[in-house]
Amino acid sequence: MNTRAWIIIPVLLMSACTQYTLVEPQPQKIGDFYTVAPQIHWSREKQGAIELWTVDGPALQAIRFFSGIEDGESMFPATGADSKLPSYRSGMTAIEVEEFVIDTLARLGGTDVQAANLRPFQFGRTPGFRFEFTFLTREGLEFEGMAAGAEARDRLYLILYTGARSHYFGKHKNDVERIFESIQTSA
Amino acid sequence: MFLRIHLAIVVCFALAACVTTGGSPGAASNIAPGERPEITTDEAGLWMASEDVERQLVSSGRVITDPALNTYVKQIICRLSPEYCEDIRVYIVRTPHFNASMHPNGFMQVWTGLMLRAENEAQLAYVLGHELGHYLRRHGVQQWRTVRGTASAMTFFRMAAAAAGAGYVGDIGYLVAMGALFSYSREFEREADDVGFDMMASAGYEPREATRIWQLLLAEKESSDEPDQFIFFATHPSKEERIDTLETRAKTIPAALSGSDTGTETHRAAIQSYLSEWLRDDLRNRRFAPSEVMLNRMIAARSHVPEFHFYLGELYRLRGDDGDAERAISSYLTALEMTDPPSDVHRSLGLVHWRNGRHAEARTAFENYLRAVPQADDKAMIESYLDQL
Amino acid sequence: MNTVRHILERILRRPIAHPARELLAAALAAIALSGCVPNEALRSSSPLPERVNPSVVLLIKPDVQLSVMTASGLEEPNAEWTAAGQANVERALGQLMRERNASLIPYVEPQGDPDKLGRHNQLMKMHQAVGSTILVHKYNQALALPTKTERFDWTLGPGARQLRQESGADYALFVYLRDSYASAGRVAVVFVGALFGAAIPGGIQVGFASLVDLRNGEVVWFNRLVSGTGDLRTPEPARQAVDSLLTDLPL
Repeated sequence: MNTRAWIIIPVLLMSACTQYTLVEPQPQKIGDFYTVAPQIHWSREKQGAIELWTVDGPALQAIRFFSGIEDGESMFPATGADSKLPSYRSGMTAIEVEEFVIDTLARLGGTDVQAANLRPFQFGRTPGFRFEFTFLTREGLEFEGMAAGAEARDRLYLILYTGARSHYFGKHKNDVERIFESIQTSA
Repeated sequence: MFLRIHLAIVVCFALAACVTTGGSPGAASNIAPGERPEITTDEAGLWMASEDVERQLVSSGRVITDPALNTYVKQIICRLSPEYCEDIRVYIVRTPHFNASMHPNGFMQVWTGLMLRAENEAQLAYVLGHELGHYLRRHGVQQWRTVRGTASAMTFFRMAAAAAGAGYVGDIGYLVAMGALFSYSREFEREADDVGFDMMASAGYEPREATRIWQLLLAEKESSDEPDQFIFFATHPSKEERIDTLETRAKTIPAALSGSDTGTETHRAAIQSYLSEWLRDDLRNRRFAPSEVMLNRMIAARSHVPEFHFYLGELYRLRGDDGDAERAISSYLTALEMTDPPSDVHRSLGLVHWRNGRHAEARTAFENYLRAVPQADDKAMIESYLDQL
Repeated sequence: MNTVRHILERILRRPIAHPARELLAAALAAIALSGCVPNEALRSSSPLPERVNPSVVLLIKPDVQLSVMTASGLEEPNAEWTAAGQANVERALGQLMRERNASLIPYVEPQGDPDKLGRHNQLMKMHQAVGSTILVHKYNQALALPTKTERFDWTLGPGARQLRQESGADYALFVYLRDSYASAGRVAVVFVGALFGAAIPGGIQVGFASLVDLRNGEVVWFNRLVSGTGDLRTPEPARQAVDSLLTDLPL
């Protein structure tokens, strides 16, 4: 740890440039396209266009809402010189979106990323898709995930739920299923 | 037996030459087989850090444990250096970049991007021999001593973990930027080349293959204007002079003493069952220009391997430039003419036809897919497409 | 996790390869200097299980690393000191446990059984993830999770039960310690700095420990240690550091 870091880290962390707020169990607007109805409390953090919900901490389980990924954009903002994350193309089929998500997770360090059970799913009023996936984190911890999404207005709307296979994915899996079922899209 | 003794003498002389002309001031003697540093030395600290990285890598899930593949790589190392064979632990790491690296404690990594691109065993042997050269000549600890006084030295261990340790490479850019920290000096590189080259030649491999692998790497590198994304070049700066040097060295080995093993068939057989996985991994990089160069080279060498044509088609599908749809379809159709094409070809054909408004062709392709894979995992999705088409 | 990683990357001006491990070290270091941290050990929200006497505690090999802090503030891992620190910490833990009428058995990695080793590794990695989560979200107000106010309920999951079956232990104890010692050059810098009123860390000791109930995987007790003094290289001070680290251990 270089000397500069010793002094700066605590100041920045104390000044709360990132903060978690409480999500009440009532309808929540996500971006400008849909609402969901959580049945329990979550802790919410906003990272640009991505909204993250967790109960036990993002390293253990998290829902990520991606609102309106546009043609040519990647799922996550490029960091540093890594500008070659897979990019979304309008009009992608669900098969290609699944590939886009899996390849992105692999590029971000996920090991052995595998998807399964891709199937049609009604995302509110928009025909969309769902699939499950598994991977190892960069540290080698086993994780599971489920995804739901749809294209609307030439943009991709995606919800990813991930959690440690040991206990934490399963802990709120049903709550997330209910969230998926509760999606209501604006006209 | 007689020939082997001759080769051994050549090697001794060559290595002796290395030692006297060798590297930086205060260059250490070779590490001895079985040697471990005294716990009080700085070298011991470096070994401890390396062991830490090794432990992490082993449990990361990125290491390929397949005994056959591991035996193949290990026997190359033991052939190159019977004396040091026991001290080297080699790990094959599933990462789609050309790289091999060596930690000072004898832990070596070979990344699958390298296994995929090497055309034969001799080329792989050259790279492994080069890394062994770094190990033998203790370049790791010498490098550490050089940089340790500098401000960026603290990142040395963490970068080592990123670049050469845990096999994960997300942001190559920063590794390239850190190149100054990681790239061995010209003297070290030359030394490692000398040692590796001599090991390779005396082990009976065709020495001309050493230049060949640099040439094929450079061809990929030059295909793209993007900032250098090649981690191997970040840590092993390459100039044309390296190739010239190797070519010259190759010529100086008397024909009678030179091995001529390239091991092309052995290498192809060893990696055959991994081709699909590693070609798919490579496309994840979305580096279309170098990947296209690589795939075309593979097709030129072996035009009847359906995977090469399929993944070239996938490249065009993903790239999506003008004319790529036609190119993709053409490659997929070529793949289908061969023996045992991957069944995913039909699905990809369907996707490309559909995106380009050819509904009838898309329908046929998806139907072919379901016929080839009746229990496809994405069957429900494909059937919903057939309803729409 | 991503955001914290981004912050750390911006501050340290370099990307981070292993967020969890770096987070651990960085979080501990940050806590060292920040003011607003709870100073007490944390205990599980649920009532602790009935005290079993004598408790059997499985000691997961303490992750101890000692380094030299050079004049420019860099840390060089030192093998000799690490070996000494490791031995002293294990000895101190043994003594402490005997005094509390608990028996300490060392964890031994399974040999020749890759599946078993794989499962055990997953458990260790769960601990890494849970431990860094606790450090980040419980020891820093700015990153507190609203869903965890007044709650301390983390678990390593059901894999812990198998560890209990295999070892016979009631609990597992994890210890993580990092310590750096000022080199002569560093001491000089600190001394000179002090003349001008600058608070320059000479060397610092950070660590955390957690106690896991192997019957259900729950983290029943957690504590972090931060100190500007202390020396793990010799037995007596190492014992003091361990005592401090294991404050309020429910055994």
